[in-house]
Amino acid sequence: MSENLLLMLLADARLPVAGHTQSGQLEAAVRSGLTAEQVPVFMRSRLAGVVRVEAGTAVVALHRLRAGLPLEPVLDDWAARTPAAPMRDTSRTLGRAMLRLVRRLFPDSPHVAEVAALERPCRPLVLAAAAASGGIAPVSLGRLVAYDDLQTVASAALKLLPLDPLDATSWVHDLLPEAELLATEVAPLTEPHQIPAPSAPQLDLWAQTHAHTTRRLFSA
Amino acid sequence: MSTTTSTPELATGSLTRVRVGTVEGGGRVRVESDVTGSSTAPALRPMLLSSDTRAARISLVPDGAMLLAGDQVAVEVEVGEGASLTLVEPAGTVAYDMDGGHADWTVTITLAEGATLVWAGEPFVVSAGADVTRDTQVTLGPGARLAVRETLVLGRHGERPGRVSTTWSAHQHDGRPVLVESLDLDASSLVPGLLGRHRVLASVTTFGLDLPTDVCPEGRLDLERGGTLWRHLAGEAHEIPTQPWECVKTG
Repeated sequence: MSENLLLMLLADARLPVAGHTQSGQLEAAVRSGLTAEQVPVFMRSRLAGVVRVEAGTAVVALHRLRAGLPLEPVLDDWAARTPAAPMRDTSRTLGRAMLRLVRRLFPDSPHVAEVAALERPCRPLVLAAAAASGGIAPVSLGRLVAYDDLQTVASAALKLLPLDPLDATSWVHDLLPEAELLATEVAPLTEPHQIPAPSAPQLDLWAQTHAHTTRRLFSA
Repeated sequence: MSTTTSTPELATGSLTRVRVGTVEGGGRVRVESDVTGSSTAPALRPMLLSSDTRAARISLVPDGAMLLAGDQVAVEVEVGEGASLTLVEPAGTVAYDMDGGHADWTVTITLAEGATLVWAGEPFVVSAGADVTRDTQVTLGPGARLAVRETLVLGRHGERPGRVSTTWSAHQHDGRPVLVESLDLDASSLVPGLLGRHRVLASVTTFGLDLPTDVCPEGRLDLERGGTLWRHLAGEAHEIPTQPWECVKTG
């Protein structure tokens, strides 16, 4: 199977994996005063913080799946780098939705079975299982995680702020070099302790506040 | 000719060691402390304030001007089984303009089974032109309890931020990670999602205290494997709420 076509499929916003329920803390940010002009900076902060952790986790999990090494340490190191419980919950909820899809796409994959056997795997581990099953390279997996995050925030921005969709898409386009850089940086990682641990304190606090808000458009 | 020391890597720095342990037979806790390194290097001098059969209270007093380019300040703290240590600092620390230079601040904490460490850190101010690495490594024995207060201030009043790279890691004695994070902060961090417009980042990091989840909910981040991190962002250090630290001390 073509790696490129499989990547396109996994990065497609039309996938039934609950992506539309996510704003990547943008809703909380807007509530606390973030303006439309600041959305690209916000997207860059996510790339510098949580996206790096998730992409690094995915790449290390992919290596370990292929090498036949246990995944529990990857889950431990991901959790230790994700201090906000709502962010951990979100990643696991999205992981569950993605796992349903990946199981259907690769019903005989031992990698998918291995991740499915874990207790509440986070989304990067499920993506790693898809990558291991479909022959996706580590750098491509990193690109997938970064690109998906940019598009998630961009499409949430259109629902939260009065924006021209062409602007939102051009922001994603302008940040592609940074997504590529991130993917290149995490691609060689193989050990759980190497997973980057950059903190984005305001994102953590927004995630926490948003989880306790009852009137909201997005679940996170 | 350079002087030979047993720890050549400390030629421009200092290492402060503090060890506290209980004593059989119920005497006062044993407190061992020493400072090694070049005599001209700035160091933190441990001063015993009080002690009893289980606990000691020590002040880390800066000796020499700090923090300047080339300074390497290291602190190793070890608390033995069932013993308790409180560390206080007489004042905050200012990292000054290093004019292209760099300074290191390294803390290593090892807590034995049932040991307790409370470290009431004072603000750490990173002036314009300062470039500091701050590393904190913690090893937690079974049932160990830790509470650390840290306040990072980017720039003195009306000043641009300097640069500080922090890493923080806490592991259980079996090596399982509990909290791992890094923060590379400078003027470019004052953006939405990282620090926002806030130049002050305050943290209270705790393990083993198991405070009920409804205690001090504001800024509270409950970690996966136990432990709680309270985070607050503010424009000025005095705007940081004191509540989490009070909760920790009384809880």
